[in-house]
Amino acid sequence: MDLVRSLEISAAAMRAQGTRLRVISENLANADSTGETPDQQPYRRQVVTFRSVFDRALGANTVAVGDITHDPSQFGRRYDPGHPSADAEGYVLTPNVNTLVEMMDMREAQRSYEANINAIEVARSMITRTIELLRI
Amino acid sequence: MDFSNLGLFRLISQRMDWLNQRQSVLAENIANSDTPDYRPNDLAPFKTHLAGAGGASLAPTTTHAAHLGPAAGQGGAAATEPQGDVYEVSPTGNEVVLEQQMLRVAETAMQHQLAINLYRKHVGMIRTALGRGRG
Repeated sequence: MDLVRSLEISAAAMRAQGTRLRVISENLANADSTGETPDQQPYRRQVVTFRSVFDRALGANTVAVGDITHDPSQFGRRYDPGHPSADAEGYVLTPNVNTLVEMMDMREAQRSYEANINAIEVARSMITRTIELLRI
Repeated sequence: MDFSNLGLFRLISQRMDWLNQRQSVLAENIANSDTPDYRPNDLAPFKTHLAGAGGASLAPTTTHAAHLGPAAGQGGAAATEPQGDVYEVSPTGNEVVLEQQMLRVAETAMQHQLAINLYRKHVGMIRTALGRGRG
């Protein structure tokens, strides 16, 4: 049935957005994770990629999380000579996580999640109304 | 009595079939609203779906008694086509605009309700004709 299929499509998308949110929270949690020794690298920001996959069993294009890759951008530098991971000049490498970017990404994930919930609710009400036809 | 022989019932069931398929296509679009390079789809208009269901579409020939034919009153799958009017394309190449898709979802739900109410009314009319109270 097509409506049940649309429920499954939306559920798959919500799962993907959930993974995205998990990665965002990992990034936010590690926004201050520097290395412990001067030659250790700080936390590198992770990025989720989405791709559209054709689900044969469903016969529809659902969304799936592709590889979770690392952001190759440069680390930040902070002058803190007392820090255990400070280099010879007294600079500490900080993670390339920008909290504001993560917050915006989180909002976007939330918005997509809500849109999928909305689609599920509409499909559900259509199913319910069709079933109610039995009562006339 | 076979309800599918009545024109209105057959039309309503085809309409609901089309609306169900459309809801599924729109769910696909919404699901892929963050997928890079994804282009939204929509169903071909109901008018063309109806014209195809009338027998003009390609149907497999039954050459053996054991072959299964399409169920009576079912139009089969409606054609999907890329959505023509796209509001904007995001930097990732994604063309899904959530607002536009939600509008279409609401439209589909409304038309579904209309079809269901018409069905109820029609059954009520038959009941009245049968003389078993109001529908």
